[in-house]
Amino acid sequence: MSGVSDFIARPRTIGETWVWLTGMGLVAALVMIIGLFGFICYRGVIVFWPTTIVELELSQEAQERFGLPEKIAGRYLGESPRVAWPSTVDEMRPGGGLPEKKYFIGNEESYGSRFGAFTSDEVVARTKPLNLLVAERLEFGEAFLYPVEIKLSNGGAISADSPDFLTLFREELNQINQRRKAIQRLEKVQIGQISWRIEKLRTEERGIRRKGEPVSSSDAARLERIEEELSGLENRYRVFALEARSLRELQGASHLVYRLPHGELDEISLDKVNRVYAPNRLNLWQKVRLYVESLHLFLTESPRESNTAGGIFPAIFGTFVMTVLMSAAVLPFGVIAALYLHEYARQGPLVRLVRISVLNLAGVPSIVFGVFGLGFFVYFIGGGIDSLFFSERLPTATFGTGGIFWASLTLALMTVPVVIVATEEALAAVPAGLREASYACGASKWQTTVRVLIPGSLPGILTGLILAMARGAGEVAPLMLVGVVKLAPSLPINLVPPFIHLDRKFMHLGFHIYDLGFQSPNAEAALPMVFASTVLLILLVVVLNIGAILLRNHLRRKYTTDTF
Amino acid sequence: MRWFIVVGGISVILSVLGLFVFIFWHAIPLFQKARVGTPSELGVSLVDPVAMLPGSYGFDAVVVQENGAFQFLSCLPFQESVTIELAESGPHEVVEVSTHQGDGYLYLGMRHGAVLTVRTAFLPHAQESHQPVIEILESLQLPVAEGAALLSLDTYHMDQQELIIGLVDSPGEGQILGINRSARANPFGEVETRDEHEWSLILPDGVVAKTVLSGADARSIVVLSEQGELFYFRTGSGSPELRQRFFPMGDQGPAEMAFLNGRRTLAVWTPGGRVRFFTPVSLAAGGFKYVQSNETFFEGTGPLQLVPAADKRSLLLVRGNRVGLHYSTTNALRWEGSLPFVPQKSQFGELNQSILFLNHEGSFVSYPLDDPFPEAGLRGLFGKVHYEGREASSYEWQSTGASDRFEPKISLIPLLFGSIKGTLCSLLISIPIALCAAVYSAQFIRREWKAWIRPTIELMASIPSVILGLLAAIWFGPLVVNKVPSMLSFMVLVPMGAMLAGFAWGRLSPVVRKWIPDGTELFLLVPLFFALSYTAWHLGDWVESIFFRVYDLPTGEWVGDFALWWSLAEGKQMEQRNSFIIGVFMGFAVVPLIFSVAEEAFSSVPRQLVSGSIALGASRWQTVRRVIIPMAASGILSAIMIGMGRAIGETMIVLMASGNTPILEWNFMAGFRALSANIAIELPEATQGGLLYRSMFLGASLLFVLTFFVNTLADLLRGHLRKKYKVLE
Repeated sequence: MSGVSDFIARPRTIGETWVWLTGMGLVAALVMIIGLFGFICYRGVIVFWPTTIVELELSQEAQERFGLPEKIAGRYLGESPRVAWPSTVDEMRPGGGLPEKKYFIGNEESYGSRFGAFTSDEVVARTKPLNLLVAERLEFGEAFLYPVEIKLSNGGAISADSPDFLTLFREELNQINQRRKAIQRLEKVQIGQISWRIEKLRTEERGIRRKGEPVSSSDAARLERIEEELSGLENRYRVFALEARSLRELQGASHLVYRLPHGELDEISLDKVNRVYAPNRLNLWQKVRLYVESLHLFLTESPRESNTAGGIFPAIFGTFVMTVLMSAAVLPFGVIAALYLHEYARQGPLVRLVRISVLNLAGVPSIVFGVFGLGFFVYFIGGGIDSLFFSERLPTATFGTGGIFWASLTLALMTVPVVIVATEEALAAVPAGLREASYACGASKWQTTVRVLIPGSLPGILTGLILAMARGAGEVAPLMLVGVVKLAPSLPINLVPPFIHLDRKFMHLGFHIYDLGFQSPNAEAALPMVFASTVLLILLVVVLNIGAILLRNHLRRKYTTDTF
Repeated sequence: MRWFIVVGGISVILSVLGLFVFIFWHAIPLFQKARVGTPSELGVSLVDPVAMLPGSYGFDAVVVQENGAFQFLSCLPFQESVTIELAESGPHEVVEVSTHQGDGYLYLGMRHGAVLTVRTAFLPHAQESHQPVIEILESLQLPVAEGAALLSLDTYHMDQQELIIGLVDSPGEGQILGINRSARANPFGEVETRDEHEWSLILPDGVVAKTVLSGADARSIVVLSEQGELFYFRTGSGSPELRQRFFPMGDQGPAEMAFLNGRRTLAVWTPGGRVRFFTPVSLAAGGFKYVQSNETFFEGTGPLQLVPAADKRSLLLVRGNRVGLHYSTTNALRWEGSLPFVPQKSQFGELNQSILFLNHEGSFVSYPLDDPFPEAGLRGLFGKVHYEGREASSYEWQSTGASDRFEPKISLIPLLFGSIKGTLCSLLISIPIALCAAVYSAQFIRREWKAWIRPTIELMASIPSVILGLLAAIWFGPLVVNKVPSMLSFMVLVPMGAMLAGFAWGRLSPVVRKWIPDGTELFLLVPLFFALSYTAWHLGDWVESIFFRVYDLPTGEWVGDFALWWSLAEGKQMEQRNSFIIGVFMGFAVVPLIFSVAEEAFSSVPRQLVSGSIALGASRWQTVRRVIIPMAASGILSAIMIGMGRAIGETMIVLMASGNTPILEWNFMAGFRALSANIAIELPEATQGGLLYRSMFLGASLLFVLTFFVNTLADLLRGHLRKKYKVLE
């Protein structure tokens, strides 16, 4: 014991105890941030990595317990102890407390569930069959199956035993996928354009008829012309619809005959299959290729199966369009307000008060801006626009309901303080010498502003804009009030006139995450999509922020060297 | 061009600030008193009619005369008043008309005991006007004895349940007669069985009934005696049973009573102006008892008349020519005024949009009434309110109710409480971390590393809160719920371990300490952190089995189980979405803000002060403790305020991980509902301009005021600090 007391009594540096405590605080903060990024990135990045699929032979009890056949295939997900006392059942579950391995077993329509979890007692054998295929389907998620043959539309068949079976299979699928895209183009673009025109004419017709009897001669002539054009359009519509139908019939013609792990034979139309691969035969290069392909599909496709499969293109696009619209609104207003505050207003207590208020507006909760957006933009302005310009469509609201335009304006209001503050800072950082030189050369105040101040503070303004974009892109709460939806049938900008649909509701990455995580009918199946979307959103926001930081540093350097 | 900038700049700033004026402006109607407009009068002479009822379809009121004539009165220019005699033959001596809001049925009680069920309908007529029609649905007879007469009638009818009670002028047995009827319908709405049951009520000896009312659910009967005693009966399949008797007005003598809308809350009043409200409270043993909820007094001359509204829990108080509009739940007088006449009958118009009177000459006068939000007001939104069916007054948020039996409970207190609880939880966790990190990175760390620390931690602030909420709810919540003891030991072990290590380090000989020069302790701290976390995680099970032992009933063993222990110790369940998780994850949002402001405050303490302190022989901690922290105190405060401002308004994290239960509990293992999350949940479904909509705008205003106030204070503190530093330099 004397050793300890000797140690305590040794000469010491006072307060190292507290220094180390503060150091631990810093470590905790760093671990929080790095750990969070690491965790999200890891979970998001592994989503698309093709893993091996194992075939499990279940014991007799397990088959009865879970209502599963004797053999199933599955993707290993992880291990956790089995819940022994589920709240709904009074008896302890067999195997409760033991570690169970969780698998994604696919084939939802055959097994009734996409997931299974088994203890080591419940699995008799585990193999990695080489000829197992993963089929990504348009409905019911993935299927794990053994191919038997492909029945082609011309009556022929490709047997699974032929050496180039997978290549031929992929070619066939490719064809079908191309055709599906053609049908979509036909229906969305061509037929969409016709329907848009028809609807426009009908609305006009309704407007004329609403004027009541008697119809003036010019109106009667107009009505006749509308009638004529309508019949022409309907004829064209019929031609396209016929074409789409004949393509559709071709789609359903070829089938895949397959065997499930326990031996049951089944058949699926190739039209319902998106992609196939043999997971247990892939080498590293093929895995990387598959990974890139999955990532590409994720970024460019629309969601399927209540957002639990497919891609998130509409959400990315919606976020993009909204952020661009927001920037277009926030930049000029923010810069003008900052120029006024910094250059034109007489500096006094009033301006100082305004400056403090504007600065503090940046700290007002985003939901408050959402409330304002709903009350002012959507109901007040939007409702006004509807009753003035779209009265023939009422009571169906056009602008009197949430939409991408109102959402952008709401976020612009929310982020305008960020731009004002950044711009003011940048203006203050322009060396006084530059300004004086400009005046000395005889430039007016306006000329100085446009030629010297704005170019000089451009990096600062851009920093503010990027920060505003980062904040806007990541914000969800106000959007929930002003027009974001879980699934938008069409994009806010597309090939159907009038091309830019500012009144449309839209999808947003942040809201997509919220919706997938909390309102999905199949929360567990949605989990990989949630993490993939999360990585995307965090990358977007972090890249924007790092960009702003770099720009700011660049700006600082520039002015420390530039002064006279 | 100057004007372009000036006008543009001013208008941008004004519109940004005007935003909040707009939000406040939307919340103002919640606090407005009722407004009564200029009256319109209809010159008729109606003397002592049986009843005056609210009209509809352009008719202001319906007056029922003793002879069974219905007069539909209208002040509108295009709608003429119409009189309809009942088609039923024979003399009518209507003594009472009982109505129900919702189904439009009227029950007419006749002196000789017949009860006529009629329905009024309105057929479209020329030029926007309507033609009223009266349809007789049914006629039944109360078993009134020969020579006796019906004094009053009260009925209840809803969901195939019907209760009809009559009061007869023969005292003693058979004074109160009733019929219970019920029909059972199949799922397609077709009536399958009907059940009818007649009874007469026996009052205790010497009690003479004055008023009889039938309560909601067709099973309660309330009787008020001439002496002012109240009897509460329940009927089932048999005869009514006495459940409760008491003197509602104490010893203040005879009284009157009426049910408020919904037929649950009872208003009892004396002619002298005293009104008490009683609400049925359900008993643990089953059944109900009446409990006094509110009391009020209305001054004036003449006996008090009380008229309940058919749409809300509002009521009219009339004494002489003085009239008051009272809202019973919040016990607030919404309006009072004097009429130019003494009314002989008073009534609310349709949807409480007017007040109707028959003046002493028998003329009909209608005052437009504007009182859309009687439930609100300061007391309704922030006060403790005794709601219907509650044992005592409380703060409650329960904004929607399917039927009019429930009234909206819109106390903002539970929501404010939720916001504050969430804020405190997050500050408890983030203040120590952020301030420690700020001190270390401002004063102790190696200069070359400092440039990296700040942007890294500030990057944390940019993580969208939806991501934090997601991780809190679907990853951290389930992970931690079984590992609370591990988290507790983590919180103790990590700081203790660091301090112990520092304690030892300070005593090592300089030869050893040279290996890790000052400012690079992170080399030791990072591995120490992970070692301590790992230990704490596994120590948790041990801590649980030692400190949180409970006797597990199903297995009959002593087990270490924190969740069980907590529910036994606190009496509250431990929830997966709780305040602790909110605290940790809101920390991600708050730590970088506090860090950034505090670090700036610590770093910009004038250099010469630090040098002076070191030169005088102080250690680096003594310098921080005696020079830096006192100097930067207002900066620390400002940093905490900024963090607080962020935490109050944070929406997505609390929306996703707090469980959103509007409860008033400090329990850290329970959830809460914050103002901001409540807006996100309920505003999209609120009717534009309605009570809920405006309450949400009020909530937004509160959030705005709170954050704006806190941020401004932080800003002033920071300005003060800067000035102080400037003087010293």
